Amino acid sequence: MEFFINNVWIIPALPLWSFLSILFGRALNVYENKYISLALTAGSTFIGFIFSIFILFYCINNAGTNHQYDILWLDTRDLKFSIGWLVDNLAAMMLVVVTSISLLIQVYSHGYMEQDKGYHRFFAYLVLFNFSMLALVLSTNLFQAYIFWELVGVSSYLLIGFWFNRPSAAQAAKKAFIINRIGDFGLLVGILALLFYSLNWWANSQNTLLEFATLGQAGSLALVNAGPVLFGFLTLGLLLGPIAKSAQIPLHTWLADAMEGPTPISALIHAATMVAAGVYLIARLYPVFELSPQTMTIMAWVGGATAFVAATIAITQTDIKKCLAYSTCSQLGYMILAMGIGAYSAGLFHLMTHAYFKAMLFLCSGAVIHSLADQQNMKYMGGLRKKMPIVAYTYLIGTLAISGLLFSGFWSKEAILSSLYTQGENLLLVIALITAFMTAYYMFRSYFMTFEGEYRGHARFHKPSKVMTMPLIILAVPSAITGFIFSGNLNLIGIKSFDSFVFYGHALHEAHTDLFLPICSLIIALLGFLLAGIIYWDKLKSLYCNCFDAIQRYTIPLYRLSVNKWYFDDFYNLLIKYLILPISEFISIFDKYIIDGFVNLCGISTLYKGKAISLLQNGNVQTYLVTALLSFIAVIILIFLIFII
Amino acid sequence: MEVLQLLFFGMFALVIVISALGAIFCRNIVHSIVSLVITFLSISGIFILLNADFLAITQIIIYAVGITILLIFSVMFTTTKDDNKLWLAFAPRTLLAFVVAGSLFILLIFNITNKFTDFNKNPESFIIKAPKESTIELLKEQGTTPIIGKQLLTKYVLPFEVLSILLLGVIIGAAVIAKKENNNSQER
Amino acid sequence: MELGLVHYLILAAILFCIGILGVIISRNIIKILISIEIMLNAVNINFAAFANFGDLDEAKGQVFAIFIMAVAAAEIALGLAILIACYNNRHSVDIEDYTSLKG
Repeated sequence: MEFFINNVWIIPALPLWSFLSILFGRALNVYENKYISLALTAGSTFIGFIFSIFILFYCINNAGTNHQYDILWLDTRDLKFSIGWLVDNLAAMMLVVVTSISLLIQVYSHGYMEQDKGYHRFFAYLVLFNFSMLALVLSTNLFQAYIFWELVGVSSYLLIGFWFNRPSAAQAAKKAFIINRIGDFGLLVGILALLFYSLNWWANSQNTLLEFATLGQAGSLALVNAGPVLFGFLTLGLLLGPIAKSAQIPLHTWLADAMEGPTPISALIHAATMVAAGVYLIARLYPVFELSPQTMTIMAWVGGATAFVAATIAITQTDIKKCLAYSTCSQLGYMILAMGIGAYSAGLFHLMTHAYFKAMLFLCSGAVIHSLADQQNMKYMGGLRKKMPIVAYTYLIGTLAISGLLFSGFWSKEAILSSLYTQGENLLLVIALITAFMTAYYMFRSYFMTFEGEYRGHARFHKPSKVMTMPLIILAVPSAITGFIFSGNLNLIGIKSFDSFVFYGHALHEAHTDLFLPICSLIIALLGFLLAGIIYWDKLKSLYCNCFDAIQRYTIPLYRLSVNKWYFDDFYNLLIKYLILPISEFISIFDKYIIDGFVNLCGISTLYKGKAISLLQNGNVQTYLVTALLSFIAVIILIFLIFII
Repeated sequence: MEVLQLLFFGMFALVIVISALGAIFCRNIVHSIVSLVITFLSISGIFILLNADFLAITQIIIYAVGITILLIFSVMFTTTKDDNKLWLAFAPRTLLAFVVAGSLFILLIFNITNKFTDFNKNPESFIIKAPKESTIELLKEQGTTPIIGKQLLTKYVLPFEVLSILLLGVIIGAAVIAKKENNNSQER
Repeated sequence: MELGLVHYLILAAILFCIGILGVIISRNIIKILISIEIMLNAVNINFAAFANFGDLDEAKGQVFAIFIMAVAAAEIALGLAILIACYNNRHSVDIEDYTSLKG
């Protein structure tokens, strides 16, 4: 057991090695065989998974494990930069989630991408992402985390733009990258400000700079130095990074566009792991955020607003992946909301369960899309349950889970709702419940439109291969049971509940004695299910009358609002067109004529100076002699002057 | 005696300077070679004034005869009709040359007059011994030749031998370099 | 007025500067070689002068002057040989024609 803890660096190192192997193996034409890329990728992840499992059990058996190892990178006298690995309960949990989902998705990708020309490139990117995400999870300090945070962003960019000859994919990749840059800018400013206000503390304590373990003490010192207002802005800057990465309002618009990437990528990065990195970073920076109550309130409201808005948008989406993307957005909103109200464990619990069932849902949608020859519109699906029962039933499990009706989603969502209830945040609780209703509605809507009723499409159907369905079946297991295992009602693997394993401060395990809230949310979810069923399930269609037409007529403005995604994109486009572009054009005048002018002046003057000096190099020996003698005389005169005067 | 020495020195110096200037500024290369010969001969006169009879003779043999013949031969090999146009370099460089030579001259004179004006009055200030009586006797009878000969074959025998090897190499090298190259055309 | 070391040194200085002047302003390569010979002679005068006024016992200056003469002879022989080789290629003794080092 100690072996795995001490050699945890192998987990990110192997994917890096695989990445380099694939990269150079392909670039140098060492091999052509696709199975070598697959074996390198999946093998490295599998070893990482084994390690992660052992580490998780080690952490379960040894309460309070906090294994930190730092390799000194830069040692100025006062400040120490280092790179290392930190294993605690949170990291152990994330390691298992990331490696297990990555492993399954890599296997699935083999089936999905087998016919693609960029197979090796795809796996190289995939394993690069794996490396950066695992290294981010294992980071010991904020600087290291920032490095890998950016690397995660880069690999996301590469994978969204994987089919870069499609203009929409290239645009989406750029959009994702730029919006993430906005967030990362805030994060960087936040990090630097935090460092600035706590520099003395780091210098005196001789700790590794910005290490997570002592961030809280430094943060409280920064609070004293900066004052509450400035510190609030500082933490807001730090929060901006997770907001962009986890696709929260107002920086959420990239996530839906990111669905241009291959579906396994949507499942791995834009549903399960990378977007969770934002939540993970919030968890790591929790000691700092906690010092600023305003920021916590803003965090909670951002999360709540995102959950609500994204859910309303998801209701009307007809693209199956877009629908799932907005549901991801909404569920991430739940997590941020939970973090914001102080329900640390509940948020991370939802992160874990959500990662499994959302990955599965995306893989199901990928299987559907693959089988229907890249048809993504749900209007042209339907009745697929009979043709691919495995996909349909796993999708149903995922739907039930995300709706909070059954399975793992119920428990994690329940934890968040009850935290809201006990904290007395009634308005947010109402928002969360409405969102839960809408979640159930749109998820069942997508299920019914895709798998029930009659087939409405024209594309020729072909069965998904076993490589693609096996990961679905395997993923269905954790999707179904993780919530129950960690719910606090069982003691299967040595821990009673999730919040006694991953917690902040001290373990606060509250017995769910109050049955009012669970029943309430169950009823709400059931209502959503029924509504979806009434509208989209043909078997129930006969039950309702035409009164829906009237309702539809009155809700057209709302419908438009939803279909157009609350006009966020249009608003941003207008903002860029009428505010940012004119300003930047104005600034570019300065750049063009003053900065460039200065630079060009330097260049030109150097050129002419060089030409002037090169006149001496005219090839004539006598000129050289004259030059040498003149310099000699000048030196002599100089020496005379120095010694005489 | 002193006056006679001074007279001869003045005469030689005048001839040297004038003929050296002539060697440089003559348009015709043959004229300048002739002028150069005059310079060399006058310099050998200066050597005689300096008690360096062996050097004076060597000067005449090597410079005034050997090198002059070489120069004349090479002029014969290379001269064309329009050689006379090759007189002075272009104006800026000529001007610069005067500046350089003039300032160097000023520096030298400055240095010489500063350091060596009282050389004869108190040579003890320079770490050099006055000549022995025997040396003066020897000079009167036989000149400097025995002294130089002794030096060359005792103290400076190694440089002397190296010098002979150098001269051998130069003979071969000059022959090889100046030889007309027919090999290249054959190879082509 | 007594004839002293200074006079010889000044004569040598004048001769040396004339040599430098010649090296720089001449266009004919043979003339440049001539000027170099003048410079070497100026140095010889210096050596002989110092030998006469300071070191008559051993006459090291004169020994050096002899070495210089030998080397000068070697130099002029090689220089003219190179000149002739170059002339065979370019048919010119004008230094302005030998500027392939131009940068």
